[in-house]
Amino acid sequence: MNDASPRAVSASRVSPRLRRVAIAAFVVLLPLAAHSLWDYVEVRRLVSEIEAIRAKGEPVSEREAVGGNQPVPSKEHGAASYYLAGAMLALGTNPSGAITPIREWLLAQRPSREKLDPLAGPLRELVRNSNDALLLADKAAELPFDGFPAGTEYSYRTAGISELSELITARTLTLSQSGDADAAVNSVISELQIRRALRDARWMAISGHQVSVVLSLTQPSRQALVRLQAALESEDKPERQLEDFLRERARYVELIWRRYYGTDPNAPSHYTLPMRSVTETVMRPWFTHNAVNVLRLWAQLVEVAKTAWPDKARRSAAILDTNRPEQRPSGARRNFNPLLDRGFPVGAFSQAVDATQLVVDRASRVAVAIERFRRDRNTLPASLLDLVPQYLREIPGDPYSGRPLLFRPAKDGYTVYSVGPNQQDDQGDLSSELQRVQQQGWGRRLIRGTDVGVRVLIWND
Amino acid sequence: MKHSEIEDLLRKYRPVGPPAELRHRILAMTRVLRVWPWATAAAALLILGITFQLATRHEVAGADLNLGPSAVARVTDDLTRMLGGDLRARELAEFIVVEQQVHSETTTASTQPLNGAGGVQR
Repeated sequence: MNDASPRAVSASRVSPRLRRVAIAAFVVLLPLAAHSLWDYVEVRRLVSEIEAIRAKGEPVSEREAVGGNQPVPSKEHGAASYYLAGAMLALGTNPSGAITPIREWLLAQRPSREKLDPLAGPLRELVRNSNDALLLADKAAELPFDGFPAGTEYSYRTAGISELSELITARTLTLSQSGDADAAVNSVISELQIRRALRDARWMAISGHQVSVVLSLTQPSRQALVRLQAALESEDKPERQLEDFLRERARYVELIWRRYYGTDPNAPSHYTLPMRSVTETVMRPWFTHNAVNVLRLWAQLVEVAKTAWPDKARRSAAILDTNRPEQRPSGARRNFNPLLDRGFPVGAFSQAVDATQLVVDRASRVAVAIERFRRDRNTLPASLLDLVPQYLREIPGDPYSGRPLLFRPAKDGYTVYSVGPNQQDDQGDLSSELQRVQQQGWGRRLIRGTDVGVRVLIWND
Repeated sequence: MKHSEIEDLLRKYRPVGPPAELRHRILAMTRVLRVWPWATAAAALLILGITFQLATRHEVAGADLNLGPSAVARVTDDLTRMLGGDLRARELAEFIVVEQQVHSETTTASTQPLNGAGGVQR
């Protein structure tokens, strides 16, 4: 024992308590440092993804998406105030319940006018009770619309505007059923005008109009037909779908950024916290990791959405098929945070590549031209070429085929149609449209059955 | 018993020194008890953690998303002005906005599953 070294003696003097503290500090700091590293790596990935979007000249915030600045509504907010007031009155009226049977009636194989009368009863009652909301929507239709004021999105806006749009549809149907032709045309134009508000309110649904019903049940004046055709032509802006899709992604980036990384010094104190809870602080790298994956998926979808028709139809069909809500890729599970789920961009994508509204608008425009032709010559044109150039500048193209729209006259009317997402001519069979009317949610965009277009009925009585 | 036999027996039970390897075993144990490796590792982790935190903040600050004030901030300012513009008005405006947002979130969560970017579709 006499030969014990000084080194061994000093080692035995280490306080076990101090050593325990050091070990505890190491154990606590190890996951914290790992978390910091992971957080840094993920934020780098997110920033790189945002820079990649910017490098393509695409927007990464709402402000950029609308051309550099947030929409600044005029002093009285133009049409927006009327739409908002109408939306408040329309909220809860639920017009779709009364409208759907009439849409189904129109798409039946052999619709009869006798069956229409009982269906129109509830609609008339609804329109009578919603007169104030409709007046506000009509007033708004005459005014410029430069976006909704900030803050109104939190409560009633989106749902209310949608119901207001459906109320106008209900009125169009009622006026058509009662034979008030020019008023029905004005109502259709009001329906087209409210799309501005629906776009701004991020309503991703197909906003249908009832031109085929008006033409089937009434005989509008020539002037009314010309106005209607011009209104439909001004709606022919296929580039809007891509713009809306890019704007939706910009909103997504902004939402993710504000939620996980942003602070807002002017917001209420509840919102100035960079994170909402401890859980979100701990989970932030994981959320960011998923958000980056969603943004990468979004980048692929944007590339497909930018391709030209009809190639876009084929490529998008494959994507939508593999991302069906009920048939997710093997191993993929629905994320508990909807912001981080693949369904978020795919849902927006299904809107961006759905040409149904474009086709129906174009086919309706052709149908109006056919009505003008029929009014002048008391017969249907033999082909759509007969309409050019007196009634139609050119035959609108079919996005699904890349060729002009098709025309199929019959004994009891005619159909103007596109070959539809299946890209086959089904001889003007619009039965898939009936499925779409009955299908709710974005699943309707996955229906790829028959043709898409409008059918106008001619009553021989 | 002879003297030499007694000597042999005593030699048999005589205490001997510790084995040579015992010293190494004791020194090895004292090495485990050292504090400095743990303290150094903990300090390194602390420095790394702080460095990555600062780097993350730097990344966040460097990514200029051109966001502008949020809709929440703008509507709070509007409400504050409408309610008189003083501190009390600001508090009331913040309460209203937060209450509205909570109401909106709970209503949305319970009635409208997020289904695509537009939320709900007809």
